[in-house]
Amino acid sequence: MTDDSEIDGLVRRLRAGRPEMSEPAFTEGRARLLAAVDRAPGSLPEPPLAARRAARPTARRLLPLAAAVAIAILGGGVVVVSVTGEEIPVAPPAGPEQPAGPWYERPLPAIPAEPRNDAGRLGENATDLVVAPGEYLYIERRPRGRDTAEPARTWIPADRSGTWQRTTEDGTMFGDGGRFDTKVVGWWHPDAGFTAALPRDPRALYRQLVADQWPREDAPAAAFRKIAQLLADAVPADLRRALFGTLGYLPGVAVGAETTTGDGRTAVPISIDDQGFHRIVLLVDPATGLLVGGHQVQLVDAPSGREGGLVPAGTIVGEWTADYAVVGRMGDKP
Amino acid sequence: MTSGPGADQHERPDLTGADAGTVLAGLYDAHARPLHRYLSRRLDTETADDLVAETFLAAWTGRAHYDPARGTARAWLYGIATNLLRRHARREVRGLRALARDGGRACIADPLDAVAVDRADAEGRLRAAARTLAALRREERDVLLLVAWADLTPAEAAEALDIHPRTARTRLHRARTTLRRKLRTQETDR
Repeated sequence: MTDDSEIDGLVRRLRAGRPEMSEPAFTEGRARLLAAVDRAPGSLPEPPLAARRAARPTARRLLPLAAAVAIAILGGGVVVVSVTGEEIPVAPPAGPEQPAGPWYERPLPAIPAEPRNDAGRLGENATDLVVAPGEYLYIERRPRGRDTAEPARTWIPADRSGTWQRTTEDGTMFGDGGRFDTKVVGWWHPDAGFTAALPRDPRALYRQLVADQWPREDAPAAAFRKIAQLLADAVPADLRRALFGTLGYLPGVAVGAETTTGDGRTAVPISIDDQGFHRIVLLVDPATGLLVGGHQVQLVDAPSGREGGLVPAGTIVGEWTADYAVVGRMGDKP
Repeated sequence: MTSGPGADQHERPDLTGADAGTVLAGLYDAHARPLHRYLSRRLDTETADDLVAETFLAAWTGRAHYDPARGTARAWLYGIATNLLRRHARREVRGLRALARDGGRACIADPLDAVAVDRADAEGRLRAAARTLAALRREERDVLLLVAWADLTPAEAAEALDIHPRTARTRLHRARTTLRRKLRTQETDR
């Protein structure tokens, strides 16, 4: 059995004969919903930022847009944000280092008055490689421990809104502004326009992450991964500086002592625990504020896929390093 | 498959208007039964009754969080439901292990199918599949079952779980690879 469809077909047969939803259950569920609607027909618990953005999908304006004040009730704190983006009352002081609650019910808390960690210093020396018009920033991300694996290579034009190339084991893609395989632009699919519109103030960036969080699992770790994705694309230094500053406000983020990457370069680790399963570790070159490596640490024992196999807690999985260069043409290697 | 602006409005409705209750009631009519099918396979019929109702109540109270730009209402609802399922994660794993122990008969929807392919083989594979599902990492099982049992595409599963599509594809690949390996081992051992 090798085909994915055969595997899915087998899974589909499991418990396929379960009875359909009964009419009484359907009716009762509908009645409960309508009763809730009747109790609060017009009130909306939070401002419809998302819907406003959806109504203007091309406008990547920063929040808040139209409301005079927006009130966000998140976790333990209340933040009132004016149209200028300034906070009126301050949220509770910096809380415990680790986010509260189980990871699957963990929203981003309101921004504390002071940073929770010193991630911001990682961006203090952020610099960009000089890419002249017509040249390309070349990023090579190489998995370690898999010598036969091809690295992922990205070519970014001097004008980041131009055409990018990304070549991975799965093939080569081209995308205007770095938008490769999606029509949706956002944190998970940032293109040049999205990153250009992001604020350069760490607190404003944090507030945007709060407003944009999907009320789902482990929002601090999700925000960390969103930022990591932008850093991996070597976004301009002013934005990297702000992103490191924002990481300073995220609960659960730890900045470690200077270490070395798998290939021996000096780096500072910054990490967060993701859903209780992995610790995501990014390695930052303190001289440039560029990501030069990273890995994940297994936090719990997990089946390895081999019969009876186990990946014990503490195992490093998915280690990689990154190199940067400037090349003259898309597709060229340094 | 539907298309066009009307279809998009239906799939990605605005839940911020004064008619949000009506819109959500329409979503209930369209999605409650398939959602129940998915939830009852993951747990049991009675719990699924409650979880369907809770999913729509959570959708109502959290409707301001729904962003049509990020995904369809269907994916959003399955995401809420999958989050609610986590309270019952241990029970789900126990149920899958019991399914693996009790044999494949309970798994097989169509007995004629089983006759056609050699009942013993079919039951063995299904037992192995149930056992492997129980042993999968929860986040891998979520993606696999959203695809296999809820008929979401991997991209929709990513929308539902608020994860990057690449992460969803990786989790799905890992789940399928683990299943494939276990099933091969099971076939070799026979």
